[in-house]
Amino acid sequence: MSTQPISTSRLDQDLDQHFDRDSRGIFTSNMDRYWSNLDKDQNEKLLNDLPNTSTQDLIRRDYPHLENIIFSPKRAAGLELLGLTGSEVCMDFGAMWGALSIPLAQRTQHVYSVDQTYPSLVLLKKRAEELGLDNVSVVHHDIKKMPTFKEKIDVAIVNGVLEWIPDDQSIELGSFFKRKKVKRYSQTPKEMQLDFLNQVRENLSDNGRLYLAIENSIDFAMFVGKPDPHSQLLFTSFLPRFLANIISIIRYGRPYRNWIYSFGGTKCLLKKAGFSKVELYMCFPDYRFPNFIFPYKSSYLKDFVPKPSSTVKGHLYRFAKLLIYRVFRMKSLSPGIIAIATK
Amino acid sequence: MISLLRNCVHGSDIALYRFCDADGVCYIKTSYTQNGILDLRRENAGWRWYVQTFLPEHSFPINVVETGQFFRLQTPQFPGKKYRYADGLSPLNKTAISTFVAWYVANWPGTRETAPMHGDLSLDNILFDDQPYILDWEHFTQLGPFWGFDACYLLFETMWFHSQQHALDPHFPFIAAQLKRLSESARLPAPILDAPLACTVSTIRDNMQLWGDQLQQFESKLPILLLTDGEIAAIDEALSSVLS
Repeated sequence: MSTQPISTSRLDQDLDQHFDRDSRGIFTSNMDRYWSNLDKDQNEKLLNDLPNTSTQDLIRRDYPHLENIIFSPKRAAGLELLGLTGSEVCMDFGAMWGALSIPLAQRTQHVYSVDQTYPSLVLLKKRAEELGLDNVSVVHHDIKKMPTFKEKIDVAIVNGVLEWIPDDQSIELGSFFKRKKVKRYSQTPKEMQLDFLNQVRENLSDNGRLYLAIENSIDFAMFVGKPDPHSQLLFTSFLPRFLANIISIIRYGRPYRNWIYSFGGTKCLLKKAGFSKVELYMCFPDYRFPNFIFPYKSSYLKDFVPKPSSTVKGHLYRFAKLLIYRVFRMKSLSPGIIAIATK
Repeated sequence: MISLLRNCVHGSDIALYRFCDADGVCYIKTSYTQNGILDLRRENAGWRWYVQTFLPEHSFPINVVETGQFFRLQTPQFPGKKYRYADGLSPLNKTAISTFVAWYVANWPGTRETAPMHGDLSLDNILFDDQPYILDWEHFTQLGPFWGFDACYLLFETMWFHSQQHALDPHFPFIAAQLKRLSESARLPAPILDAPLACTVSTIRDNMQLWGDQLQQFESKLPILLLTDGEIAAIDEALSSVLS
């Protein structure tokens, strides 16, 4: 925490210097960028329907498969790792529909939700209004190009975002895995991720904290047939990068860019980005809907209970997980990573 | 160090954590929804009543953070050993239940008509040390149903788990003995002994609002609700023949 309380009005002034405010009160740089599970037509329809119904009713009616992703209270479980006191000013980079921005706003002083996809932010803003939250400010901008503000923040959230930083193009997730376009990059994915993390750190106050959530590149399941969740390719998360590139070019006509890391690799990355202290946590079955989170340094997995199954394959898989995590305590193969990094 | 142990299970909107530091271990529950916040307010009330009533000489801190849209409850770790409810009416569990019923009869306040109620008293929520220490007060109410309800529930829930794997016949004398002990306090309503299981189940069904929405969606949270009327009648008949 900084020694002086952060003034949200001064941060708002900072934002006013860099952005316009549109008719909805959203800070915007008017850039045309996009990352969404929905395609642009779907999002346009969502924007048209939003004034007439509540956000949850709309999603439940039109996109029921997204209801839990957006509204499930399970998603906020990792926030307790931050040791929040309630006085924090936070910035959620890649906030999308507010899965973490909203619960964060329910327990901290102020949240700035930043995303490049305007319709997502309109929905997020409406969610905040429906809940009577007046401490959410919404910023439409490319999170990779955030300016350095004079007023610093206490907490930065980078939740399921870092792996998409190196993919610098508009993404409609439904068609992303069919595209064949090749965009040439001058930086490696790691360089782009480091630049982004450096910029995030620049905007943190002294002793400010970063909450980073990401998949583990050597999750045990990736070795036994679970596809990389970002590329939908087998084995690319842990193969040498040049081999992953070859596989991705064969399949999609473009190199493998959605780099994720092991626990050690994530820690190294954060240290390289200038964070002084990094605490790692293991998440089961993943960081998005965790049932269990354990500190990585403790090797404490006694309380981990894998989900029961009714199929033979499921039973075998469950048995394997019990062996790997409870008996052999191979924590480096845990599925999800949350890192709390201190500036 | 903090660990997430449970996250929004069985229709609940509450996450449970264990926190360890140099000062010891405590447990934290949080919720961001109105249903979860109501449950945690009840749990906070239950903890405070329990600690003030039974543990006034101890220093067991209970801390609350509430913003109106978020609730965080921090409770102490109690000493003691927990017994596995899934083992049913094993010899160890029977000893634990017997110990608890004796303590309940000697200490729990209330009348035939109403008594403070825990609402989910299973072996999973009791630690046994110098005395029983009771956890998980999210269904607490000061004005619960009849005195003895929680003890009856503990007996019958353990019996239910036992019935999933084993025959109950050899254990009816034990259950009847605990019920008799409760009745000797003169606070257990007399009709309970005529049909103890049916009374316990019907008390829950007649007062579902005490357990909130969660029970409406997940009856398995109080597994004795899964018994059929025929099963309940058969068990009560067996108990009656032992009690008489």
